[in-house]
Amino acid sequence: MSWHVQSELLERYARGDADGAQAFSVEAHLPSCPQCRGQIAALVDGAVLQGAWEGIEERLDAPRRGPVETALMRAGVSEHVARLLGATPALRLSWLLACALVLAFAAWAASRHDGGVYWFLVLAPLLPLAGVAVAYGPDVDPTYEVGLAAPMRSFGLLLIRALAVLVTTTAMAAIAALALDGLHWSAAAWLAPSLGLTLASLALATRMSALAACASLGALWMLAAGVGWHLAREPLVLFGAAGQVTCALVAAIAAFVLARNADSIERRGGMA
Amino acid sequence: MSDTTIRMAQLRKRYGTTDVVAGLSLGIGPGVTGLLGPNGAGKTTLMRMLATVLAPTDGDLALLGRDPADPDERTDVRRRLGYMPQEPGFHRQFTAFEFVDYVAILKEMTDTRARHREVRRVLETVGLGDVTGRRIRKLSGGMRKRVALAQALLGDPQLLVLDEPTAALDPEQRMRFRELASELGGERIVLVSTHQTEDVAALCQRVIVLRDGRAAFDGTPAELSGLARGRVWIADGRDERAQLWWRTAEGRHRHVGEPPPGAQLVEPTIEDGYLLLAGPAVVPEGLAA
Repeated sequence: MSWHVQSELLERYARGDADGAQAFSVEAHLPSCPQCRGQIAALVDGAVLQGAWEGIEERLDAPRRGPVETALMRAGVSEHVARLLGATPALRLSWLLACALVLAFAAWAASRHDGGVYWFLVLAPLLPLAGVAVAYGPDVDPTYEVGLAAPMRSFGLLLIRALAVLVTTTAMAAIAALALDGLHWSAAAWLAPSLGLTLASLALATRMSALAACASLGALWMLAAGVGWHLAREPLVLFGAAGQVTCALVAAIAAFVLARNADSIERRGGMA
Repeated sequence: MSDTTIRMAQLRKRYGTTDVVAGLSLGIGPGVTGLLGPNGAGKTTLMRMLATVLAPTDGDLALLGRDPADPDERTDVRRRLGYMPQEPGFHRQFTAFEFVDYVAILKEMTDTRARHREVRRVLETVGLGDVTGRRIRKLSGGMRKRVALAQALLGDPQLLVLDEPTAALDPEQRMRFRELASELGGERIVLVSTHQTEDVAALCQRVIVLRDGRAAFDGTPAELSGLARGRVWIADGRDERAQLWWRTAEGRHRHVGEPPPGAQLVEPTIEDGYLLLAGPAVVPEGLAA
């Protein structure tokens, strides 16, 4: 190297006062000149340099945000909660797409056949239930064991994931309901059963795995829908006033059980 | 001053009618303690109880002066605990950095910048600073083990429970692990469950041998190898009187047991002591006399 950057220019560069062309020239020169690098090293504030390195590392290492995580952050969810939710199987795009397809098919069937709305109403509450089943637990979360030993409460994690699943699938079902022929009250009759079943699954999850709880309740719901139709000779009997009140009651009782047994999911998972 | 010990009294874990851990009473302080034992001896069950992910059926357990049966005290223990399970699970689409970052969130590290700094620190500590952005499904088995170890080191825990941390590591990685565990064991409790007697000899100040859910031995590695002093001999052929024997790489036979008169006694290793203690349960069928 036959030339070196003048000390005065190095000082200005280190202060951040060099103009664009000068800064470019210094930066092109430094990688090939140990002497100038040594000279400028003494001029740079260590804290500033450390901050710059951290900034670079932060950009290189920063976790990639998936579409769900990005959407959650745009909706105001904090970064760490969005990451926890982004790892939820029931909030992956593939799962949401499957839900959308099921709902679209149910809405299409409902508009093509007499009594088709029955199938839509039976199906819609099962989607959040299926989502909760694969939201958290030893069978669906590979980090379950590590998570159990972490200070974040298992119940809290299950609750925020279940809430996110419920909100997402409810929004999707609501959009699908708008596609049904004519806006009749029955188009919203799945809401109370959906809430009741989801809360009941969480309450049951204090006694058994979320997967088993959701599977049992799903089977029970299908059975009740079939038996109700058969006995009353009216497919929508389960969705009438009495059915809605029952579902609301189930939701209230389940919420009460949940509040009282907040620690039991964790205890059942390990410290029983 | 905070309590930095583990205390258990008549600790028991029963599955059905079998006591997998059968009334253990131990106190464990700072330093590296190794847990040895054949498969089914209760090592992993004990480690899971000490990591607060499994509740004892009976007995008393205090971790760092806290009762893990109490929800608040359990959370307090978990804030000072690092746990590496025997078979750690991963979200395989995550990179090494993303996985450790995810666990850091579960460990209540909510400040993004500080959390990422800590994630970088632990990944560099286990020698994975160059592959932080590589997806876990593309990492080798040894690298995945180190990712699992990295998450256990988050937050500089006082109690480290490491279940078979050296399985799948190559010799160089095992050396690095021993060095790291040795450094960590200064003021912390580091519990290492392993099948590798040489790991115990190299890094543990204390070794506990479990057999059928009970502590068959509790002492230093030197004391464990000392159990076999005068009871290990080499001969050209197999000696039926030995408790255990195996053919060495040189084609001779190493025996453990009561030596016959005139036997060529050799210096015992920690493995000899362990085999003598654990008996035929740890030796493949056919090798035990």
